Amino acid sequence: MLYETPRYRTSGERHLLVELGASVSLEANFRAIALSRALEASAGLGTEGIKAIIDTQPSFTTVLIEYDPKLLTQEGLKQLCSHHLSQLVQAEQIQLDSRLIEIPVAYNDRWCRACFEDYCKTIKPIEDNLELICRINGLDSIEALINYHSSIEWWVGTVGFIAGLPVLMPLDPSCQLRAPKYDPPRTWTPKGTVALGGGFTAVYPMVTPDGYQMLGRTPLRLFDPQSDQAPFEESPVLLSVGDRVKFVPISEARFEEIEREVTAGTYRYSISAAQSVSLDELQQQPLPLAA
Amino acid sequence: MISSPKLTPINGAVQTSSPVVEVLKGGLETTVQDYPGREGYLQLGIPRSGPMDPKSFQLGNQLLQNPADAAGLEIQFVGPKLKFLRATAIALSGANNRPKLNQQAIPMWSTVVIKAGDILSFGHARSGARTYIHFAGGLDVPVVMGSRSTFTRAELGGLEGRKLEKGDRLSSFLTKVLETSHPIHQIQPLQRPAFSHQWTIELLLGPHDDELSKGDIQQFIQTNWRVSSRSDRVGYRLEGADLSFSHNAHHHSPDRDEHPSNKIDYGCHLGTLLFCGQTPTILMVDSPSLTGYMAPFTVCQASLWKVGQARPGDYFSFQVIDPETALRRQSDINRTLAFG
Repeated sequence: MLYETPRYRTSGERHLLVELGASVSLEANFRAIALSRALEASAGLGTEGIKAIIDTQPSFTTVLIEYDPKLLTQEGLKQLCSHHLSQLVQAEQIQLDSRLIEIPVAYNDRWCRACFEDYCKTIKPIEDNLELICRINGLDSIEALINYHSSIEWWVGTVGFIAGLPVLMPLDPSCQLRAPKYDPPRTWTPKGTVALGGGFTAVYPMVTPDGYQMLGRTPLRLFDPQSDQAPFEESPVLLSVGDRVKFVPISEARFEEIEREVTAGTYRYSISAAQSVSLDELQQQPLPLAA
Repeated sequence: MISSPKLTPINGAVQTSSPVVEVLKGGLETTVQDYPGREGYLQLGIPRSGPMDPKSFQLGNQLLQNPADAAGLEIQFVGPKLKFLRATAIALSGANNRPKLNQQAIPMWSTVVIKAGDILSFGHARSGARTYIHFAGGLDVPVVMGSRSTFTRAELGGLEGRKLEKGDRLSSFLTKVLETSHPIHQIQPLQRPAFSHQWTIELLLGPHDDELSKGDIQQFIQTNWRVSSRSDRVGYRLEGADLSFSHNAHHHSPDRDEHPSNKIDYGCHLGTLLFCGQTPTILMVDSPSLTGYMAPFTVCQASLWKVGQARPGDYFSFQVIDPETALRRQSDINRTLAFG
């Protein structure tokens, strides 16, 4: 549900949290991303007042804005946000630049299983992650779960927590794949793990604690601040808000092959050129992946 | 992403550098940091990093007439042992951890002239958690995403993205000033940050103060909170009271998990005070950029250095101030930093 007027929340002297709706939806997320991009575009105009915007962090229902209170008052920033929001068309018709990116995943892999076994041994015994997801979602086999997770298109709703970690939601609103989180959370998760929590999929750019149920592992790099080669020549992170993701099942052998290619810099990431998309178009027909 | 402005050229320094120290012992966690760190990368999940006590750090750079963005070392609790490879000048700021040069005590908050072969070592601080070593000209490590600050969790910036280890060598930019005749500056006691074990931290209400009742807020303010040993550059955890949650916080949207402190993931930052279940947690310089916990308060900019200097076992009492007062506090600090 989208609010008629946004709720502005003070987050210290130099941050404003703009809340656009009360619950997670693609509509709210599209609006948040569009507001964030409009503010960043205006930051590039170079007039004194608007340069005051330092950073924006769009998420599912909110945009966090960092601004310089010496150059722009909170009241002025609210007016700027209201102006941009009034310029936006209905959420379903908002056009956003979006790329389609293929992420190869070794589902039900030995590295995540080792992490799971470590948790069972050192913290407490729990149900197998993939079997648990199957049971909760009425899927009759792990193959059916892998088919389902890799057949739908995922939307990058936000990127953050740490170093380029994307949180994805299904573009198809009828998808109801859900999973509870670990309690207590894991102390570590293998780098590249693809995991499900709530209705979201996350991909871990590095070893990190977390509580999503592990599905598999990708050999791709999600964060590389040192590289000036594709796909990191313009941004140190692979996935940005507004990108779409298709997960492609691979074997453990293929995982190791791709991992070597990634290290050698010879792996060709499958990333389509950015094209302007709206929620209406995306939900009517999936866009083809560019060659 | 909004790109950060390029670093300003190092004024009064020649843009070459040479090894200035060799690390004999790394200390507990000694890292290269600069101020203000990385700006503009929240939406990539890259935190600001930089010094936990920006006030001491900036004062220290001024003792050497360094540019504002000159990088130095942050020491946490246990200091390193360093051997100087050439003549230079240094300054020490932050917590007084009994610095010694060749076994002789040297002053904090003062320029110190250094000869090749000198050995710098440290004892322990009685109050305060972080000490800074500043080098004339500033440390020369690669600028990554607009900053030289180390973010160890992502192996980013600083020296190979990690804390210092035995055998490391660090370079600093050469300055035009002759090392042997480096002007001696001092920060007078009244201008130095005042260290304590009982800190008063000023807060602003928001972003989620509306989810607490007036009684909840009173309960939080009247509690003397103890700093947990599980506190670091990512966040400071507090212990002290069982929090109850008012009626407001129990109106869940179905996307939230069970606990009333859970929210739909939203952007957070340095200074955000989260209620992680029952545990208040202040996000610090290496914090995540998204959270699923509610944040009823935010620490004022002018109080952040105190959090960064608090030791586990210290106490925090909180005061809520209004945004105008908070901005005035910060400009007061900026004025004291604007000497020289």
